[in-house]
Amino acid sequence: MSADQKLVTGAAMRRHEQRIEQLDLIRYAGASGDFNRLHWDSGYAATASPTSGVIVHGMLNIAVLLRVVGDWVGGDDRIVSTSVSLRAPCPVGALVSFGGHVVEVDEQARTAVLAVSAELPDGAPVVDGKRSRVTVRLG
Amino acid sequence: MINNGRVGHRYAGYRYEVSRVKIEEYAAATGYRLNDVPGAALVAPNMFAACFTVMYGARLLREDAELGGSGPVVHAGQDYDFHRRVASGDVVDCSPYVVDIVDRGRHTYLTLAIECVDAASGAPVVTSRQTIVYLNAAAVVEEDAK
Repeated sequence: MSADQKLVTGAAMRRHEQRIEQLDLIRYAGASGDFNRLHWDSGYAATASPTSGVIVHGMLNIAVLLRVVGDWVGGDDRIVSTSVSLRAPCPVGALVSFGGHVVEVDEQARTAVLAVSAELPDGAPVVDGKRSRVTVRLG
Repeated sequence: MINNGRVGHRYAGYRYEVSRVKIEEYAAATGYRLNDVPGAALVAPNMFAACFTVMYGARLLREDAELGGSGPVVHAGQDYDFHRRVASGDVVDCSPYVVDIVDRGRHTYLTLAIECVDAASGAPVVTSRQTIVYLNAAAVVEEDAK
């Protein structure tokens, strides 16, 4: 099935699960320049973090989400814009489930809008699926 | 309290030069597969824009003495408009400004936009809007005693 055939209202991506570990956070800090101690210093995070522990960079979760969306829609080239709302903090080592579904197709503008989300196993919304959208270009 | 008189304030622009090695570092950290064609510029994942927007913006806000944002913050939202792909060798000029500052409950939400354009042509490359929450920074409104 081509990417465009998939992009019909209601179509859903198969959810992608990924556990993001401390080494991933260290790599991301080096690549992005985000050395906030909440992401690597467990002693500091014990008192300063909302989870009382190290938490994953929100932008790393968004990067993984956009990567799997890009794979599903036929490539990063298709992604026109994103609007992502970060909500629940994501503890390091948590299994995160990333997904999305098509909520709107505009044949005239040749775009589709996906509602996207990232959730913890207890359903806590790391990326809020009610508010987060990715607009992609149809072929 | 955050100084909402900073709405509309434009910070000094900055220039970012996109390197092949930084794209490779970013891809390795996020799991993106790169299409490395010998002799051609290396095209970055769209979200590579984080490397020249989010932390630059956060630092500007942190160092803005007139803003008064010295307390704890969290990153609550991130929007991007991707106008074209970014690749190694690109030079982008980035112009940050404060779009909005609003209190919601006990917290103050600030939105910072960064418009990134091609340094040579001025054509838009990517536009970033990051929303930062200053925890417990909102003005306290005392309810009238009934």
